[in-house]
Amino acid sequence: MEITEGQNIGLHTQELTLNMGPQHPATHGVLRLILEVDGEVVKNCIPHVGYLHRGVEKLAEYRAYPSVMPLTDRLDYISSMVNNIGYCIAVERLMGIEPPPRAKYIRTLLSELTRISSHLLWLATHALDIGAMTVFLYCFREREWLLELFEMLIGARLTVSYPRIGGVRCDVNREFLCNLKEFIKEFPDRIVQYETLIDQNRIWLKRTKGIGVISAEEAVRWGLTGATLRGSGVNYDVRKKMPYDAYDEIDFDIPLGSNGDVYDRYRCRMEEMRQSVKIIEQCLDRMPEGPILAEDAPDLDMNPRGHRMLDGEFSVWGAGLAFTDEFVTTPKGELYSAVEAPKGELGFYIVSDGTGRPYRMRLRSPSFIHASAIPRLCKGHYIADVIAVIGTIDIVMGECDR
Amino acid sequence: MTFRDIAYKVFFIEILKGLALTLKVFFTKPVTIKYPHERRPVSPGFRGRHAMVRDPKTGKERCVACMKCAMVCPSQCIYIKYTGQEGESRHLVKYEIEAYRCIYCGYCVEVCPMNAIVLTEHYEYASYKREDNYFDKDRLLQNWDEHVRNIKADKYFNKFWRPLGIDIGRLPANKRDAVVEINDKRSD
Amino acid sequence: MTKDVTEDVKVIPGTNAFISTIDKVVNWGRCGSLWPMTFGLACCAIEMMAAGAAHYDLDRFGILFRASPRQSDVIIIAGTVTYKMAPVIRKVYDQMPEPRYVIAVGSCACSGGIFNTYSTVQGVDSFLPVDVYIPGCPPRPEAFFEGLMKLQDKIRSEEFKWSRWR
Repeated sequence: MEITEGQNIGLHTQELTLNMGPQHPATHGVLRLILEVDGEVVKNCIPHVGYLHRGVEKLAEYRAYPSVMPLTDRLDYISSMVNNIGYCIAVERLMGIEPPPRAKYIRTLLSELTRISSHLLWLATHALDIGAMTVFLYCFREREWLLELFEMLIGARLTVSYPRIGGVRCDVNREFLCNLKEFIKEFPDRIVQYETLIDQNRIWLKRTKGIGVISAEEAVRWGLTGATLRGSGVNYDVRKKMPYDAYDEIDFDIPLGSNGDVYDRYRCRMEEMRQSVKIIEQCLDRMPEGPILAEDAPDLDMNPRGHRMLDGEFSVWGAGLAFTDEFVTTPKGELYSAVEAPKGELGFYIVSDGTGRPYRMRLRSPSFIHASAIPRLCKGHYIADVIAVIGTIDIVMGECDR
Repeated sequence: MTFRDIAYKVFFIEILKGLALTLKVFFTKPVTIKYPHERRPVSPGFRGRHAMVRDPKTGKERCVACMKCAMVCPSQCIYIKYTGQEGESRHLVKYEIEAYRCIYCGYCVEVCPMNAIVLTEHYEYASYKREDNYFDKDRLLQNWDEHVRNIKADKYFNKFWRPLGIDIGRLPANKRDAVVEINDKRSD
Repeated sequence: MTKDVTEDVKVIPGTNAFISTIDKVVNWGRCGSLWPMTFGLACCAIEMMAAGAAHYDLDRFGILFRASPRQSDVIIIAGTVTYKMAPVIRKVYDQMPEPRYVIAVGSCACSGGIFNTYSTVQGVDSFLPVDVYIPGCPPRPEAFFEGLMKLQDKIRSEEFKWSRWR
């Protein structure tokens, strides 16, 4: 072909729009990203959410307070225990119930156990995405141990529904505690194993250092929480700033990063696992004896309608049915309560109209807010680094889309 | 760059360390469970397939149609029909659980005042048709018989009938000693 | 003249030749190494990953997860299917070569489960021909294996699924 004068002689390039997801093995569920790439470099990125929108918030309006709990299991299904606890704490604050100290310690212990299991799954998938297959297998080895512990405790591996409003559903038994002690003794060595594999590995360093950098001010402005924020060096942890359960009686550190890149966030989470072990040890030492359920805790079969309560103990098949027309359930009002989930700050905003079910329940899920920061984090990086960025902010779509 | 850094770079020290670790783990006992041939024992209280307790005395179900399980069920998968006016004792006509809608939270077991419903430790019941796991009353009793057949002990106790550590005053009378005798086991 | 080895398989004495039905041979070939198309959607996908990891090890059955629908035999729907996601699943399913099988894992995929809402598909059988339903929320990895073995049983009992005129 003859090139006429005036035409652009150099090769003409144009930006390519690339669709990543929703079915993609490395996008942690059903996240869809539309990438605008110039060669290999990402110019812009638009995350699409909503592929797992199940209407949890709406569904919660039709369930009594105790029956909402299994719904919260399925938000962040990797760390369902913390979701349950966060929800229970929100409802307890609404109703003015104080759980007994033993229940508080059990909850603290199990939150940390869940944090370990969530971080293990994060490390497994993050490393697998970046290319370290062995870490995946090693992490699942320990995670399976943890899930066995959960099964021993409550009879389910992932969706536990363990806490109850005003306490926990059943006490920890000796078999569980013995197994837990064994795990705690063994686990720090296992963390060292993961670190041996990837901590200094030059491929890992190349893939993580200087990727997805975000400064402290910007991280705060984007509303990031959890280890994603702490990797940038901001000392914010709900467990320290707004202590719940037994965290104010327990001594632990908040690991902080400095550069705010993928590697620092990885280091933060690894140290968090060590701190979790420390917290569990303290909980085991200090766990008091006593009841596990508050006196004024509502029963599981709490009436969702509130103003028409069955009167008398199990009079259902007895002599007669008596109904009382009273508001016996919750005080009216609204409140926001947050816990430190493994992903970040998990908040429950509950509006109560006095009946036995929430008038409105809104979730402040860390994954949703972190997903909004993906374009900022992966702009200017290669396509391969997008995977590392998705991994490092640790999103779970169940929680993001709700 | 110190001498140590250069040595690490040149001799691939960190990669060799990692390889040494994988080699070490290679010689440890594998954790794999060869599933169809060997099974991990299920912890007591695992929330598996539903069953209705067959009362050892009457040979029938224990349910009194109090509707508590249907009310508390988060996924609303329990359907109950009963006869009897208010004030009389109720008679159970229909008790159905749609197992594929159930989420195995165990609330029904915990709330049942008669210990009539139970989530057994049986978990292998995948099916080819969706209707196969739509349990009616007879099927639920049959599930119980199947479950009881595999129990070695004379008594069966489910963890959720009387949760450990819950104040006994909160529980209705029948739940306070919630153990089922399995006496017709030998006749099978 | 021929000697029975197992059911439907005969050997001709003095030779290396075996006689069997085409059904038997084809089904044997199919059920040996099922390559599932991973479709991790929600909670059940985590248990599916656990089934693929060291403790349970799907590779023992010759089951390797494929990320491409073109090379897979069975699609495992693990998790809640929403109306936004359903067309994507259908598209992936349509891309799979015949014969293809569908496993619905967990309450959500089987019937919608707890999420009886405006945005959730009430069971993937409303738009896919499901072969095996695995109950549980989420099912244990063992239950997941049992479902896969049930699918293998189903494949073994198929008849005339090899001809062009099915």
